[in-house]
Amino acid sequence: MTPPSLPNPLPRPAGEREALERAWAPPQGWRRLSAVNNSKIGVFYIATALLFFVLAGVLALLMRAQLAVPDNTLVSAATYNQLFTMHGTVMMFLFAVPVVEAVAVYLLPAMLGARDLPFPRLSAYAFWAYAIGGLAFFCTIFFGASPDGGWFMYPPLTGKQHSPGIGADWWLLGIGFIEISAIAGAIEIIVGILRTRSPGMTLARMPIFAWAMLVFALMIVFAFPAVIAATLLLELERAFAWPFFSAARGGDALLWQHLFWFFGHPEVYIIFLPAAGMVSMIVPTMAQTPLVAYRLVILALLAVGFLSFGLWVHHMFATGIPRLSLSFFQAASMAVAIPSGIQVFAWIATFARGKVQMKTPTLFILGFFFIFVLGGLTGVMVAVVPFDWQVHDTYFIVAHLHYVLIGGMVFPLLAAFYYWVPYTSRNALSERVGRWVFWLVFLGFNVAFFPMHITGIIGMPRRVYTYPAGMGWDALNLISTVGAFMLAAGVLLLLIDVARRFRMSAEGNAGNIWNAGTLEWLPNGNYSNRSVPRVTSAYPLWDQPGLAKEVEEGRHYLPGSATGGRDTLVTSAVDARPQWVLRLPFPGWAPLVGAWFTAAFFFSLTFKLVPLAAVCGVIAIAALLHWGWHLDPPASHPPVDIGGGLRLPVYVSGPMSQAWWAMVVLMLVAGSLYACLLFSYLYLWTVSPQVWPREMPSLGFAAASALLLLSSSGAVALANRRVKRDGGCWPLAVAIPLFVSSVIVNFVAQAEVSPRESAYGAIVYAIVSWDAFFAACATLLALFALARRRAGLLDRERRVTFDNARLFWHYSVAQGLAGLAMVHGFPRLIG
Amino acid sequence: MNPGSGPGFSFPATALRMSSGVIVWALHFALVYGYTALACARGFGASVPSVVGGATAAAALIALGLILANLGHEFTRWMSAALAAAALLAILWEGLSVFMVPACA
Repeated sequence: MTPPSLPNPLPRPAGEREALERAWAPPQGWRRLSAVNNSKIGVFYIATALLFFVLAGVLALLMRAQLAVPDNTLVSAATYNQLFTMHGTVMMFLFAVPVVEAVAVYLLPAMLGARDLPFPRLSAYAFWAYAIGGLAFFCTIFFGASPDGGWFMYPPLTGKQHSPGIGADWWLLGIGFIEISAIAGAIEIIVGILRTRSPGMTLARMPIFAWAMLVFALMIVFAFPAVIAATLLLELERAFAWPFFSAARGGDALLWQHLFWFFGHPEVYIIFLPAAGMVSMIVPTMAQTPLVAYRLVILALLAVGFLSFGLWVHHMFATGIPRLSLSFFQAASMAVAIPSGIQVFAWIATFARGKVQMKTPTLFILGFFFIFVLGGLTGVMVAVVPFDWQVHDTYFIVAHLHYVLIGGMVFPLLAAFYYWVPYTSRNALSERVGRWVFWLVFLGFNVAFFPMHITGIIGMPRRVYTYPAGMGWDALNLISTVGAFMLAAGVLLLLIDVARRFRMSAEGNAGNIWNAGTLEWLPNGNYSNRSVPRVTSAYPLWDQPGLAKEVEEGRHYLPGSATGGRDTLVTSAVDARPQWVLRLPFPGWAPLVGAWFTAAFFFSLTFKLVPLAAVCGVIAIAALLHWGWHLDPPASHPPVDIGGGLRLPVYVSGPMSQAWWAMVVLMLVAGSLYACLLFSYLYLWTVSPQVWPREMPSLGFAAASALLLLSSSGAVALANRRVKRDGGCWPLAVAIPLFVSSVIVNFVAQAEVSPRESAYGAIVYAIVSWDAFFAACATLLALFALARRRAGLLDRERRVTFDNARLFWHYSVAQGLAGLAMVHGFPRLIG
Repeated sequence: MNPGSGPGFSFPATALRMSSGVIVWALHFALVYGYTALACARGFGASVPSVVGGATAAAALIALGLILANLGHEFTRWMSAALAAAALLAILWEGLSVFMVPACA
C-alpha cells in the first residue's frame, strides 16, 4: 500500500514510463550532434576538456624534455615560448574551468533531482563554442602561429610593436570568445541550482557540490568580465592603435595587470572551489558518515568566493605599488587561507569520525590533502611581500602554482572521476589499476615539482628555454623531467583503463557501489529520475529509506511527462517549494550552427577578413534568432497535476520565469564588464592626468543624450503598459530611434577627440562604443519582440520575449547614463 | 497553490542579507586600496593613515552590527552572521597594516 505521505499513488497509469522515455529519447546516428540534454552534452563536454588536458600535458612533456639537460636544442627559443604560453592557456582556459562546468552540467540535474538544467540549448551552445573555438586555437601550435607572450599576455610584450604576428590576436579573440562560453555555462548553472532543485531541498540541505558550483558560477559572473574587458582593450590597441597600455601616450601597462589579475586570482579559486565541492561529496561517502561542519564548509566556500577578489595585486608585488597597498593584499592573501583551512579540517574530521573505505577515490583525496596543503603553505610564503620579491618569476612560483592547481584541482578531479564513473558506466574502473595510477601520478607529481622549489630558490628563472651547465640546476631539472614522465605514465594508464572498462550507459550503470547518500545515485535514465523526489535531508538516500524504490516507481512528483514533452519542476530559490513546470526543448541544430559561425566570426576577425567575419556574424545571429523564435512556448497550456495535490502552471512570465533570472545574471555580467571600463578610465586618469583635456564638450550634449536615453526607457515602460492591457508593444518602435539618437549625440560630442591620440581619447571612445554596442543589442531585442507581436506570438500572457527586451533595455539605459556621468561629469567634478 | 506568492521572491533579499557582511568588506577594501593609490599618486599621502583607520573603524562597526542583527540558528540568519564575522576579521586584519607600514614608501 502507498504511504499517504507520498505525492503519487500506485499503480501508475499504463504507458506513463514509456511516454517519459519517448520524450527523452536521445537522437541517433549523425543527429547525435543535435542533442541538447545534459546527459549527452555533459559527456561531450567532459571528454573534450580531458582531451585538452592531455594535449596541454603533451606540451608540458616537450618542455620538460627540453629542460632535462643544459644547453639543449630540442626546441628553439621561439617554439618554447609558444609551448609555455599554450600550455598555461590551454590548461587554465580550455581544461580547468570547462571541465568543472562540464561535470556540473552532467551531474547537477541528477544531484538536484531535476530532469535537466533550465537552458539545455545554452549548454549545447556553450559546449560547441568551446569545443570549436578551443580546437581551432590549439591547432595554431602546428603552424607556429600560437601566442608566445605567456599565459597572462602582459603588454608591452604583447603589443603590436613587440608581437607583430597574429599569435597574440589568436589569444585575445580566441580566449575572449571562449570566456563568453564559460559565462553562458555559469548562467545555466546559477539558474539551474537556484530554480530546479527537488521539493524540500532548501539551501540548508543543498549538496555541497551544488553550493561550490553556485559560488563558482557567481565568481565567473564577476571575474570573467575583467579579462574580457582587458582582451577587448588590448585588441583595440593592437588593431587600431588606441593607446590604453602605451606609456608614451598616457596609457599604462599595469592597467592590463590589474584587469587580468582581477580575473586571474579569483580564477585560482574558480578552479579550486568546485574541486573542493567534489571532495566534500566524496569524503562523506568514503567515510560513510555525513560531512562534519556542513555549515562551516558552506561558510568557507562563500568566504573564499568573496575574499579571493581581494588578492589580485599579490601577483603584482614586484611592480612598484606603494608598500601599504601591498600590505592590504598581503593581509587578504593570508586571510583567505583560513576558510580554505576550515574545509581541510572538516574533511579530516569526517574521515576521523567515519569508517574509511580505502578505495582509489580515497587515495586521490589523501594525495590532494598532502599536495594542496603544501601548495597552500608556499602560497602563504609568497603572500609575504619580501619573500615574493626574492622568488618572483623563479621556478619556486612554478612549483607553488602546480602544487595548488594540480593538488587542488587535478587530484580531486581524478578522485571524482573514479567516484562517479559507476554513475555513468556499466563498469567501475579497476581498483588494482587505479592504485597504480594513483602512485604513478602522486609520486611522479612530487618528483617533478618538489625539486622546482629548490631550483627556484637557487635562482632559475621561469620561461627560459635552456640554461648553461654548472649553475647547480642540472640534476634538479633532470629529476623534474623524470617525474613529469612518471606522471604522464599514470595518466596514460588511466586512459588505458578507461578504454578497457568504461562503457557508457545511463540506465544500466554500475549503480551506487559506494553507498552514497545523495540524489545522483538514484536509478536514472536519459530523463534523469522517473519522478522528482521530495527531500527531507542533505543525505536523502541515507535518511529516507526506500527513496530509490519510491522514485523509480513514480511515487514522487512529476512521475511522467506532464506536458507530453520534456519538462522539469521549477521550485523556489530559498526553500525549494514547487512553483511551476518548465517545458524543456527537444534536440535542435541552432546551438551548433550558432556556435560554429560565432567561432568563424572571431577567427575571421583574427585574420582581419572583415567581410567574411560580417557574413559569419550575420549567420550566427540568424541561428540565434531562429533559436530564440522557438524559446517562448504558447501560454495556453492548462496547469498540470504533479502529485501531492499540486496543480502547477506550465507557463509563467516576469520574475518567476527562468528567462527573467537568466537576464538578471546577464545584466550582472554586463555590469561587471562596464565597471571594469569605468575603472580603466579612473585608473588612466590617476596615472596620466596630463592627457585629460582642460576643455570639455558642451554639457548640452550630455543633457541631450541623457534625455534621449530616459525618453527611450519611458517608451519601453509605455510599451509594458500596452502589453499588460492588450499585448501590443508598438511604443518599442518609438524607443529605438530615441536610443539610436542618443548614441549619435554621444559620438558627436567627442568629435574633437581622437582615440589614437591619447589614453583619454582611447578610453572615452571605448566607453562610448560599448554603449553603442548595447544600444544595437537592445534594438535587436526590441525588433525581435515587435516581430513576434506581428506574428501573433506575443500577447498579454505570452510575453517573456518582451520582458527580456524590457529588462535589457532599462539596463542599457542605466549603463549609458553611468557612462555619461563618467565621461562628461567626472572631468568637471575634478576641475 | 498560488505560485505568484511563492517564497522565490524573497531570494534577492535573502541573498543580500547573507552577503551584507562581505559586501561591507568589499567596499572597505576598495576604499582603502583606492584611496591609498590615489593619495600616493597625487601627493597627499599624509592623510592615508587617518582615512584608512577611520574607514576600518567604521566598516568594523557595521560588520559588528550585522553580526548582532543576525544572531540565530536558522540557516540564512546563521550564515549572515557568520559571513559578517568573517568579514569583520578580514577588515580588522587588513586595516592593521596602516599601523605598521608607511603609506607611500
